Order: sequence, then C-alpha cells, then structure tokens
Amino acid sequence: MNWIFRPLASLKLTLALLTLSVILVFFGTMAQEPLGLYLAQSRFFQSAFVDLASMVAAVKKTLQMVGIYLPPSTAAEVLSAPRIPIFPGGYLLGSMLLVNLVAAHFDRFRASWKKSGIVMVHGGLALLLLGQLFTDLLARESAMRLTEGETKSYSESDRRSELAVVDVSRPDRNRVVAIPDSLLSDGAIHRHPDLPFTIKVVRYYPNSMITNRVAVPDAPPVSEGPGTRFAPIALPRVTVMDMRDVPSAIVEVSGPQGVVGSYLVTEYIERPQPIQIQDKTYELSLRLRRHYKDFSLTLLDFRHDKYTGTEIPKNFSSQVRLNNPKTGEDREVLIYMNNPLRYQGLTFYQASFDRADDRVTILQVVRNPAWLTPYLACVIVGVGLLVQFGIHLVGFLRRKPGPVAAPAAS
Amino acid sequence: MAGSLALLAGLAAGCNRESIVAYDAPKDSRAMPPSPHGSGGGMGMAEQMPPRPGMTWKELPPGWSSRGAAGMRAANFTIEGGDQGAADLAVIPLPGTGGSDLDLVNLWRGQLGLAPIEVAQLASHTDETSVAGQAVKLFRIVGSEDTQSPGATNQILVAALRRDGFTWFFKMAGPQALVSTQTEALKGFLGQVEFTEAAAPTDTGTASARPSPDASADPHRATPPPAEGQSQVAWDVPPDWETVPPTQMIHSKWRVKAPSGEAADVTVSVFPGETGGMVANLNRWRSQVGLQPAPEPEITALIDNMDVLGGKGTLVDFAGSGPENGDPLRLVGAVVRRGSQSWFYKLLGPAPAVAAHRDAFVKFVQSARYTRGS
Repeated sequence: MNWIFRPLASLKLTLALLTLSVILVFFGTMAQEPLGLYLAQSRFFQSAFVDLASMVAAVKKTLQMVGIYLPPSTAAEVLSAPRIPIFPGGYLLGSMLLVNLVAAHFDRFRASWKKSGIVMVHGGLALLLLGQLFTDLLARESAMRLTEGETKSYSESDRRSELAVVDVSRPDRNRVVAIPDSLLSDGAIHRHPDLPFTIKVVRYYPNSMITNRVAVPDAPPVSEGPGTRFAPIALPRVTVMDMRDVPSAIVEVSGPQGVVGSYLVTEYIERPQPIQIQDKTYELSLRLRRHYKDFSLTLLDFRHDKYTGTEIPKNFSSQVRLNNPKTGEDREVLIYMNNPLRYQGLTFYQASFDRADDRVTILQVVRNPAWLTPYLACVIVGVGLLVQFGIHLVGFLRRKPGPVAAPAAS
Repeated sequence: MAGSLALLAGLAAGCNRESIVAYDAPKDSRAMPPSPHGSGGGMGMAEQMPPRPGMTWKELPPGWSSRGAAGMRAANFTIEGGDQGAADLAVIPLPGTGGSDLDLVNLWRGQLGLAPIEVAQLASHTDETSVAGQAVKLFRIVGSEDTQSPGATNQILVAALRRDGFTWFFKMAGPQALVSTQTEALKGFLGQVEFTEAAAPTDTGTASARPSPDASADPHRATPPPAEGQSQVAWDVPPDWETVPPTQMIHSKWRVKAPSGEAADVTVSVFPGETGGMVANLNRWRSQVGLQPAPEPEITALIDNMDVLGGKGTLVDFAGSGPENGDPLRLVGAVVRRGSQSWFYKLLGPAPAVAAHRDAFVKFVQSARYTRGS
C-alpha cells in the first residue's frame, strides 16, 4: 500500500498545498472588493476550482493596489463569463489537505503510546477540516421578520428566491411546491406530481425593477393579474453585501385544457396570485425561499433602546411566544443581543430591526448541524499537544543528569 | 483514499444540485397587525410592495404640481413648461435593487435609444447634489436629436439615493428644452425632501409607498371592516350577472353569458391617481383584444363621453381578436375619475357575449354611487 500512501503523504505535497492555500486566501480576499463577499466566497472557497474570470478580477484589484490600473471586472461580467478552471479552489485544497494528513498518518503510523499525542493532534485537525466542510455544505442561515402581534412558523433566505405554488384548497394545511430560483431560466418547463398543470418560464429576470407595462413594449405579454399593467426591466446582478437581487419572471401556466394564463411573478408583488383549476385554488408567487419549522414564534413585544439623546442603539430585545403543537410547549422567551434562543438545532439571534417601523424585529436563524466540530477539534488538538509534550517532559525529567563539566580555571 | 475524495466531491456536487421540493405547510396567518399609519385607500400595486418609508417636502418649485402616488411611484409631479411642453418627475423607491452608477446610466440611455457609455465617460454625465442632507449624484442623459422633428429631443435627469436598504429614484423626463431649465429647481426640491415612516399619501406634501392593505381585493385574505377613508361604492347589478370572487387588483367581478352560452367578464378596479394616463390605459385595453397601441389623437377620437352620477365618464368600445387564438374579442370599458382615484370598468369577452350585455354594462356604470373616500 505504500506506493499509494507515499506520494499522498509527502511533506512536499503538504507544503505545496499550504502555499496554494495562502495564495487562494490572498486572491479570494482581493476579489471581495470587485465581486462582493458572497460571490467571492462562492467562486474561491466554495468551489473545487477558481474560474478564470474571478481570478482575473482578483489580479486586477491586486495590481491596482500597487499602482497599475486596469479597468476593474464587475460581478455581472464574472457571472456571465464561462467558468474556465484555472486555480484549485477551497474544496479541492481542503480535501487534498485532509487526504495528505490521513495518508501521512497511515504511512508513518507506528503503534506506540509515545505517538498517542501526535495521533490525537492529527485526528483533531482532520475533524476541523471535515467540520468546516460539513458546515459549508449543511449550515443554513435565514431570517425571520416579525411585526408585533404576528405569528410565523417559517424563516426566509436572505437572498435566494423560489417560485412557490401553494394549494390552498385544503382546510387545514397548504400543500407547497417550491421551485428554487436556480431552476428558473428562460424557456424552462416545470412539472410536479402535486400540480395538475405545467409552468413554463417565459422569461426570467435575475435582478429587476418594475415599471408601467407601456414603458416596456418588448416585455412578454401577460394575461392575468398585475402583470397586465406592470412589466419588469432587467437590471445587472448585484453581489455587494448591502444589496441583493430582486428577481422577476413571466410564467405561463398550462393545464389539461391548454393555457390557463400567463403571470408576472416578482417579489414586488407581495400578494400571491390565484389560479383556479380543477375546483382547486393555487396561489402563485415569487418569494424569498422559506424554511418551515414544526413550531411557531409570535412577537409579543419588540424593544429598541437607544442611548439618551442619540440614535446609537443600546439594546434590542424581542419578547416572543414559542408554540410547538407537537410537544405541547407554549412558553415566552426573551431574545436579546448575545442571548439567542436555541431550539431544535436552530439558533435565533437578535440581528436587526426595521428602521421604518419600530414594531418589526428581524431575527437571524442559523441551522448548523456541525457547529460543535470546531470546538471538539480544538479540544482534541489541545489535549493531544498536552499529551505529546507531557510524554516528552516526563521522559526528559526521568533522564539521569550527566556529568557537568567544571568551569575552566582562569 | 480515492474513495474519500470521490465521496467528498460527490457530496459537494450533490449539494449544489437543487430540485423542486413539495411539503405541507400551515396556513399563513394573513391577518396582519393593524398599521399605526392610517389608511391610504386605493388598491394600487404600491400596497403590495414591501414596507418602506415615505417622504415629505416643503414646497414645490414654480410650475410643478403634485399628482399623488400611483402604482410603483411614491410621488408624481408634472412640470408645466408652456410652449416647451410638460415633463414628469417620478419618485420610485425600490427595495434592495441597484447596480453600479454606470449600469443605471446605461439603463436610462437605453430608454432614450442611446448606446451604452464606458466608465471613463460617466463623469461628463454626472453632477452633484444632495437629498435629505445626503450627497448623491445627479445623472443627465440627453437623447439624440430627431432629424425628422427638430426640437423633439428628450432628456432624463435622475438622482439615485441609496438609503436604508432602498434605492430612491427621482427621475425627471421630458423635452430637453424644458428639463434642461429645471436642473436647479430639481436640486432645490431634492434639498428639502425629508424621509419619514410610512404615511398616508396626500397631494399636499407627503407621499408614501405603503398605503394600508385593502383586504377586500383578495378573497383569501382576512377581511377587516372598511377603514376610515377607504373607497366604497354601490351599484345596481343586473340580476343575471353571476358574482365571481375578485382576483389580484380587482375590486369586484361578475360573469355574464350570451344566449349562446359564451361568457364574458365584468371587472371593476380602482387605483389612486391617473395610473399612467388615459392613453396608456386605453392602449393597454387595446392590447387585450389584440389591437396595436394608438397615438393620442387617434385614441381621443375613439372616446365617448358618458353621463355618470355627479359628472362625466369615458367610454370606449374596442373590437379585435384574441392574441392567442384569433377568436373575435370585444372590450367595452369605462373610466370614471372620482377625486384622487380612477375607477376602471371593463366588459371583456367573446363578441356575442359582450354585445348582449353592452347596454346593461353602461347602465351599471352609470348606477355607481361613490361614497366615503372616493
């Protein structure tokens, strides 16, 4: 097996991977200015390979910092460019480091209690790498916006959308079919066993504004709802932190009898649009992606204290009622800064508020099944180091002191 | 080891591939808490927008008049320039949107039929001003000279303010001869604008993009009692009209049938302001029966005036064919302006059904009795 492990366990490979990681982090950081945080993270760290356009954007920014000005790349250019792999990305380097670490362990492992600390350190590092990978893949952040008196059992994504078709005919619960925005593209046709109709995306606008229809003569026609009066205009995609895309789409709904109608769906239209078909009512909307929970939160009171005479926030707190019909739990919880609500693997942080409405709180909802791994990994590495140094220390102290040379006489 | 790699790669790839999901969800709690900001009335699209602040101003420059809020617009102004024509100033707050300054300028250049410019040319199109004490850029876009009709060049002046997650566009558009003289007036106006929490729109110095929800527009929403100032109306509805639950943006709806069995729909909508103007709305109706948009003189010639209680209404009758199947379609429509609102009545369907109910439809429109807030 050595012929397999030896090259993978090479220390030269470790150094090469660490060097490449340093370069990746450097250019990934540089790219955040032209591309925005989320796009830079996605292209450099959450990919197997960095694409040419993203790397060019980072290099241009770097050159600009040393006085060589080239026209900066924009996020829209990078998003529309073909993804030509040019440099190893975070997923590939992280995986290779893990493989290198494990291979080195197997290659050089000799069962000996004297090496037990080293084994623990390696185990901790492997857990740290795996934990970060699982956090990246499994963690989900969303937000719950509540007005005083309002009850919600779902949180919403910060910047991802979905085309939701909701069967509201049943008296007790709704049946939701959600098509993620990543599947919405011009000409795409979507079917689902729960839907007695197909949805064709006539045109999709990843970022848009809405204006009077007469001002956009080339917009695809819409037969129903507000879209007969309003039409979207495509805007360039935005990726900076404090802005987000607001998508729109024009979709055509076709049932067994043919076309039912065409609709403009957009976040600008908050109210879902009804579709009557086969004695059922469906509601169509393009909305922020929802994550439903088994329980609900009702905002009882939102407090936003400021330092007297200033607009500087002193304290935010949200008094909520947690109701879980499955467990019968019904209790009040106070969420404030540094005191989140942890419940069913979710953490609700007091994140923000609505400046235009002092009755509105915004809670950040984080689900991270791997949240314990970095803590556990650090403990294992720490204990491993203690054990290893302890073994050396004990060995050192047990050594008999050798003869000490007498100082030379002057 | 290779297996581990494959596993990791597969995991990463698998999580990037999204699919349609279906699940049961509890019924939405649609009854929103009451707004402390009063009611705005109307059923424009603005009420369906995410909540956003309003704006106020002290006084308007000479020649300017407010036309209130309408649709996406938090405020609308007309600038009369006498022989130089008239220009519009629209105030449009949009949540979260934006592009770079260059993207926006090129978007508006496209509206005037101009080619995009490069970033180095942007400075020559940009001026500085301030809105509510915040420095903003004022963009100037001049259309190309129309050789067929000299003097018909259009100009756009836009200030874009990013504030509290919204981008507020103050966009003045109109003949260049007029708009070019309004730069200082626009700057003066922008300087006195102040932003507030949502407030009811009026024509006397405040506007908001957040009128209170009118629950009667959607049968699936909880229906609160009519709010103070909310539009109400009563009609004499012919007995053979079948009531149908109204849908988005529709106040009321009926289904009418021809003796041959073909069905047409009667719908009533109400919007604040002029919602884009009579010509634009009538052209929208024309498009619904497959007719091409017509210029204003032609549209004016197609309008009949009708007597309604307390004034005059506008009546049109368009015959065309279905855009999809080519079947004969006819639309009889009426527009009645009451105070700050426009009521739109429409009888639309197969020609025989519309012909059978045209007279009853006209009588129905004439029977309308508008009360509180209308």
